Amino acid sequence: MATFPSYARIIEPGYGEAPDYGVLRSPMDDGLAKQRPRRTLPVVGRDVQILVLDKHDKLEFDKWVKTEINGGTGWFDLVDPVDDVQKKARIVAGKYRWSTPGGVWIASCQLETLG
Amino acid sequence: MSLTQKGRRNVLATSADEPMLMLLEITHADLAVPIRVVNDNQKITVLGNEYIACPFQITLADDQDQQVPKAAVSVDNIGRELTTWLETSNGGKGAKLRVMAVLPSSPDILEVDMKMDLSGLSINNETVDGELGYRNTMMRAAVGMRYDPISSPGVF
Repeated sequence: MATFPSYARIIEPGYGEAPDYGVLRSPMDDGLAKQRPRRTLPVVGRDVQILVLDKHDKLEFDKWVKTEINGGTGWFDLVDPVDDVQKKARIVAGKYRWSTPGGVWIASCQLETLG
Repeated sequence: MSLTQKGRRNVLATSADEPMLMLLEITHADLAVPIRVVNDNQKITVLGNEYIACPFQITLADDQDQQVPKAAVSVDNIGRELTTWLETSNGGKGAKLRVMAVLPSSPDILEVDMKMDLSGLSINNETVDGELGYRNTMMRAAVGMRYDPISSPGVF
């Protein structure tokens, strides 16, 4: 499986995560609603900003997306920036957007991880 | 088949502590190994068999007048694992489907276990859909030839 490139870093500003156990909730008019999880592991959606230091690394990252994770559809190993545990991740819908304040490049995208 | 006490507690709980996982096992004469999937995001071993994580959807049996109860199943086809089998097995004719449910904390205890005929299989880019039910044997003729207005119009 592909590994998230070492030259790219997930930066803290703009980072957010939303774990989802696919909880079912009974839609009754009244009374205490029932809830149950549908998955044993949460799918965690993460809003991330990926920082690379120059144009060369940006082009390398694009090449990695194209060849290693098949245009953004494939799974890759990612070390969770919060708990430092390696997890399976992928880019949601394979979409990411580059911007540059000058010099460095930042890609905004949404990742989803198992657990 | 009735639920175990633990299964009943899980189903009736206001906030269940674990999911009730649905398992599908598709068997067919052309399949050397049955297709086994679990509706979860990680694989599970149940009674020595490994069920791979694969999204699917089950619509429970209806209760319509003049017809046998029918349920429907829809399995994710994004990976195309089922396509080759469907092409080589004449559309999966004669396939059987076993629906099971287990709790992850006790995967070897089947809370639900039903075996049904799988028919009317159709496939598209996203899903493999099929109908579940039993063949309507009660409506079949008991004899090869019978007197009715079609076979013996002179009698009527």
